[in-house]
Amino acid sequence: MLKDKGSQAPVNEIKLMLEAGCVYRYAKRYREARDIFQGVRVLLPTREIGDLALAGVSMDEGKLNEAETHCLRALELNRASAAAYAQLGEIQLRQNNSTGARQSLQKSMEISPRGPTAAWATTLLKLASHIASKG
Amino acid sequence: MAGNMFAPGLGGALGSLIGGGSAFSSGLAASGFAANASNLAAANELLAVAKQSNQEEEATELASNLEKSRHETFMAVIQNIT
Repeated sequence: MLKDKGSQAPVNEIKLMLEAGCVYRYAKRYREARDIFQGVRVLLPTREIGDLALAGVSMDEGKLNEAETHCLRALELNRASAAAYAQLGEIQLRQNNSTGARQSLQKSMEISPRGPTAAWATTLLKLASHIASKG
Repeated sequence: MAGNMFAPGLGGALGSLIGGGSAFSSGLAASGFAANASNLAAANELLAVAKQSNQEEEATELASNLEKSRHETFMAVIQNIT
């Protein structure tokens, strides 16, 4: 069972759902991925993970405004989510908003200066520079 | 020079050839310039191809790192659910 916020959902099953959703996303089966992540959002309404995962699906589908909305909702639930800031940065980069992207990625790095999220943000910052150098 | 040991005078002939003391050597020099120019163009072309190839390699590496780090971030967030 989840430790806090009153949820009675079993943790391992939710983790399994999220991993299955990721597999569907990578297989480009976005409808199934979306259904799963929406289910996670219902099970964990006070955590950002559902919206964060949905943002990834929307981004892959090219629905950048929708992806941004999911990200902003994830950040409303957790202002200290480095992953949500990195995800937002990637979406902004795809929206050609390089200034906003850099700010979001810097924020992500401030929250989590090491680990996989920092590696993600660093790669995105390199990509932003690469794009800028191409004009 | 080795040419002098076996064929006396050859060293001098070679020397004047290299030094540019004959019609042959001036022809050679002219064709050398043309060859140099075409070599330079080919080298520049190769350099451009190599540069483009490096940029493509760099972009591929960047895309690969992006996918990897994004996936690892999601997995870490999932594992941190308690």
